[in-house]
Amino acid sequence: MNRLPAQRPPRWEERFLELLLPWQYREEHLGDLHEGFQRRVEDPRAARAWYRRQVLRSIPAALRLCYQTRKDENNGEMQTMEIILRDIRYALRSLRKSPAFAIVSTVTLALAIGVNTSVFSLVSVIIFADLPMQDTETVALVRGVNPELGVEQGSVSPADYFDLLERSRSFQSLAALTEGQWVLTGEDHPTRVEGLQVTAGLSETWRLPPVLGRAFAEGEDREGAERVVMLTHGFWQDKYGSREDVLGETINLDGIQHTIVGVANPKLEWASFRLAQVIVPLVLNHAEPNRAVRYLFVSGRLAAGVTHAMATEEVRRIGLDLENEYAEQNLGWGLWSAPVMESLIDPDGRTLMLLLQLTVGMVILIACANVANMLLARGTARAREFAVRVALGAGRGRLLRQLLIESLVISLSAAALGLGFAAALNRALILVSAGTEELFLMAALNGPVLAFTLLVSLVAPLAFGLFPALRASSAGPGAALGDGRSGDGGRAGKRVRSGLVTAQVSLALTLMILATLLTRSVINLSIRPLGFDGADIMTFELALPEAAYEEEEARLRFFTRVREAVAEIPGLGPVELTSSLPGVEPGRRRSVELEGLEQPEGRAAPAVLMLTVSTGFFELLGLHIERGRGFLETDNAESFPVAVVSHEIAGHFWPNENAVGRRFRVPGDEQWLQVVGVVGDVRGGERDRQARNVYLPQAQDARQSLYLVSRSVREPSDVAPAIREAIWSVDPQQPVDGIRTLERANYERSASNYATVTLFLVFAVFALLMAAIGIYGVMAYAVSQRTKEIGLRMALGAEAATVRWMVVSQGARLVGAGIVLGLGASFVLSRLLGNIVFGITTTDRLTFIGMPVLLALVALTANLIPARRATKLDPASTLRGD
Amino acid sequence: MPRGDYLGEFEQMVMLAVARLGDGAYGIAILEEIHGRTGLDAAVASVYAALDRLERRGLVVSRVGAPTPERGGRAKRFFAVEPAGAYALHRSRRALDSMWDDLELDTDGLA
Repeated sequence: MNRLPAQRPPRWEERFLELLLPWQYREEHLGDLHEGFQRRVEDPRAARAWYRRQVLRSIPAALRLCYQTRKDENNGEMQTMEIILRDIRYALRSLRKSPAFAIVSTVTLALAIGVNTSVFSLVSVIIFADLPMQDTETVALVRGVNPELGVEQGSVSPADYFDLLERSRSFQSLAALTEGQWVLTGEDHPTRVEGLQVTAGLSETWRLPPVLGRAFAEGEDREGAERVVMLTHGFWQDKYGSREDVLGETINLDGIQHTIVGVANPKLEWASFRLAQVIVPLVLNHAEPNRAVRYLFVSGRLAAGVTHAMATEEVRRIGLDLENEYAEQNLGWGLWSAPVMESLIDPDGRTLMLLLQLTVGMVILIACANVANMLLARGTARAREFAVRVALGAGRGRLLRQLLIESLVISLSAAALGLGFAAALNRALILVSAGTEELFLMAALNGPVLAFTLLVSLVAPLAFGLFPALRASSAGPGAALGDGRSGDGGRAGKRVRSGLVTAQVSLALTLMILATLLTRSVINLSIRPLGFDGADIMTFELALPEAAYEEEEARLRFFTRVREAVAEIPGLGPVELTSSLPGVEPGRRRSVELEGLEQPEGRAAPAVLMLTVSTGFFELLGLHIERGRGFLETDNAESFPVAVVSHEIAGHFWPNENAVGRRFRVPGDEQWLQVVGVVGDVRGGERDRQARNVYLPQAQDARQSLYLVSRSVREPSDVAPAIREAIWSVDPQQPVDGIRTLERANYERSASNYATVTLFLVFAVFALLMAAIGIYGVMAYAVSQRTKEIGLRMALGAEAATVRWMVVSQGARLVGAGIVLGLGASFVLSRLLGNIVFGITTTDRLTFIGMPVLLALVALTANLIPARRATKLDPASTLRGD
Repeated sequence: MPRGDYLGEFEQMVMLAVARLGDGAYGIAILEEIHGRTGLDAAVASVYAALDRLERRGLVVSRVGAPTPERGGRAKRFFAVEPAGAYALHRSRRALDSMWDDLELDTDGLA
């Protein structure tokens, strides 16, 4: 037998059986097989065949032994649940013993999960958009398109809609809708309600049966039909407490009684339709000849056997015919039909959101990597504990399970915390965006989002816990108790960890720089001088319903009386009117024609922003009249039309000339407007320009919708009741809401900018934290690996400072590399912000120097903790320990 | 009498092999003893599974011996029959014997 010392049992079969057998039986079992093999080794082939046969036939018995020993371990009666509970208790105990690790790892993951959940809730709004219709694959949207103007998703004019109804054969039904606003009266006080006007076929086309009552019947969308209304589901719940007997009741919209006939399907409350409260029939006037007035949102249900391609082709052809037949109004305009999925969901937006999700998905990977690093460091520290437990008879599977449950406990607590964080972030985004951003309002932590979070928190422990757990549990009792080495993942592992930290640092720096550039731009935009003193100006809008105020006289009279009534309220100064809030929103954009100036062929006519204001408006705002005069009471309907132009306009239209006395008009109008004065500039909506405002006197341009402005020494909420009373004393049918300061209006105007910046800042701070934790994790691990070496150095007389420097410099190299990479990436990416940054350049020096310095400081602080720990090691104990 | 008190055929063979081998009753030896006497080619794991069951019932005991080189440095586990085991063997044999008493079965020359 000694002639063949090299003969060993087949290695893989032996390994396999070793894994399969419960540890209690491994030794004697494998020993027996080894012995049996040696007895047959004279014929190695037969011996190996015997061995293989034995292994193969051992499988059922080995499994039975596994089952049996597992039952024994659990004392024969412990249930799986109890084992898990026991492991969880054990995990909690061991986490409590190292609170720093527990807190840092949980918070790291919680932030990552929170950001991911929040972004996923935004993404899911777009990706899993639940369209307000059934069987969406056979619904097409018909849009007006004008390639020259870049209109891809335009509306359709009523006349074109009627022609489409008549000529198309592709649809079994077509429907049109438009949004609207009404004044609801008959309650305590009038309120403004939002809603939809829809043709009778909508409910059928979208296959959205009402939840109560009926939808509009054929003919109810004709002139002269009985006035009926449907309530949206939300409005029905809020206002009527879901009463089933609302059918047949009436509500007063714009002074006209409407009978409630049904409650719409809740699915209808989608995107901007979500704001709708009432739905009324859309009465389209066949006689409306102007095809240039496009406001219908048209959709159709494909007829049986018709494909989208066929419908698109037919609709395109009809559009072409209508363009030729009515060239005057339809020149350049065509019709287009597309599947609803494609046209309602902007593909660019979808891509963008997916990219965002991918980015934050990487962030969660980084967080996992960070926790894995910390676990590795901890595993080294606990090697002895594991070794003792293995020596006392704990199986490898059991250790592994325990470690994974520890990871699971961390990630589930992180998920709970992360959900709270996501909810807070979503709420903050709504708050910061002042409720103006549809997407944030629709984002909800609903079923799919919770499922996503749960999935992440179940998969994450595998991602961050498995490798460290395998490493920790593989330490045999001999190995760990003996020489204290438990491996450091080798050179490759170290390189991966270092690379990861470098990547984190560069990602963090890039995000920090971009976020800073954006933040500074938004701040620069909002601190531009208004051009007037807007501090204590209070404002609200009054929009008169057309039906009751058809006459110009009536409108003028209403606003005059309202001004008088409101001005009597204590604390308010004189009350003036304007059609748009200066410095906050732009006026009506109009092209103008200057008298005595031939418009060159092919050049666009100059455009101005028109605002209609009352006589004392300039004085109230403190706008300086530079030339000529402001408006007077005598500038009324009887006198010739006048205008006051801004300094910017005067200089632009009549450079080096006196603008006063010049005349201009809107093309198509007969009347010339005479400039009577030049007034100081106010801030424009466009980035760096002053507003190109032209002011018209309200007495010559009696508008229906105007803002009241007044200086107030009191808070809006203080005076709001008095203001309502004053207005209702003039017209009790007028809703009054949105009383706010000009500052607030200004804020709401840019709110979505602020929300975007908030999101970026959260990402940046988060990335910074991740980088810091990453550095900490890697360096802590490195120090734990080098305990003995450091102990030896210190025993040999190395200074604490030297040791600290040794550790810090190692971390500093990683940070330095990350900063160099991050700066490069930032230089490239910040170019994309060229059109967005304001008041700074994309290579703003302060940002590009300040952020790396900040990052370096934070990173080095994180680095100092393990460095200090290294120097606090007691040389004697680190050496004796082994 | 409770059902579980009887021994299975393979269990009886294993226990009898242990009894025959005396001080040298360990895995591979038991396996070969059974093979040599009955021609049955069992898997080592089945032997251990049977012994595990018997040990739980208190019919055999085991102790771990010293590792030897021909076993790749692994230890042996030696088994011995307990008095309760010997009693169970006897009872099983008696039960079978009384069932066989005066019975003639035609095996068609296979037995």
